[in-house]
Amino acid sequence: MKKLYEYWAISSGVTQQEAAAITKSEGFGFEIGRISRFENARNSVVIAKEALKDGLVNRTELAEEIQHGLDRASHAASRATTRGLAPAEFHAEVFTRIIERYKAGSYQFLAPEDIDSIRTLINQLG
Amino acid sequence: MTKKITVVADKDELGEPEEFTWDLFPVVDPSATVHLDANGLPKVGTRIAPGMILVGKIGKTRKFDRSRQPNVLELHGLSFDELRSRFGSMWKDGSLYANSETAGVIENASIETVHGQQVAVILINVEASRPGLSYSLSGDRPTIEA
Repeated sequence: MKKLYEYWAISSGVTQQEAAAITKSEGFGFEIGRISRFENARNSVVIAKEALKDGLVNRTELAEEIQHGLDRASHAASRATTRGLAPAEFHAEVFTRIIERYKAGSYQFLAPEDIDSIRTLINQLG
Repeated sequence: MTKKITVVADKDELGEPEEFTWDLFPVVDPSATVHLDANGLPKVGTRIAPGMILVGKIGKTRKFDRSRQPNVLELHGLSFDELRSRFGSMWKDGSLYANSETAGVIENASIETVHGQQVAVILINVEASRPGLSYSLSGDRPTIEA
């Protein structure tokens, strides 16, 4: 996938076992693949092998892919395309939803500094 | 009867080694690879019907362009067919598909390194296959018909 930012400049990582436990708590599987995304057929968060750093999964990338999975029900990406959003604007909306869920008690694997970085990113993207 | 099947990771069109993986996106519909693990191998006990993937493998083509990857809106907003149409030519599906003689139940599956090359080794009980089952990839979604 085209990168708009470098995840590892924003936050650090969790182990693949931790990532699997986190996605399981959201009702999803966890897979290592070739392209990071949420994969409907496997109901799983997929993190690209080349996105790992020393075998770790980036926390912000993990939160983003979980959010894509949660956003399926509302067809967020299709609606964003219809609304004429650019990928950066869509990312800003996704990250805004992550912050909202964090405030509501979800995504507690994100550190406070991750949230600060995501807020900065939202301003840059939006 | 147990049959041993080996699949070698060859070089792709760019001269890079092909990759054993379940993730053949956006060339093969992901619903056709749910029985494969991270190494593109079928899970032990899986009943493989003709037409199903025995070993998942993918490589880049000469059309591969790192700057022309799907963006997040395309990835999550387009149908698989649209994604395959736009981006599929950058990869080639090198998977091994089962036929009537290689269908059966997986007894073991592993990746070995032979002379520096990765090789997928499958042990399959072909007597355990169910005659009359066929697996079709002709439609939007693969279907198994009795």
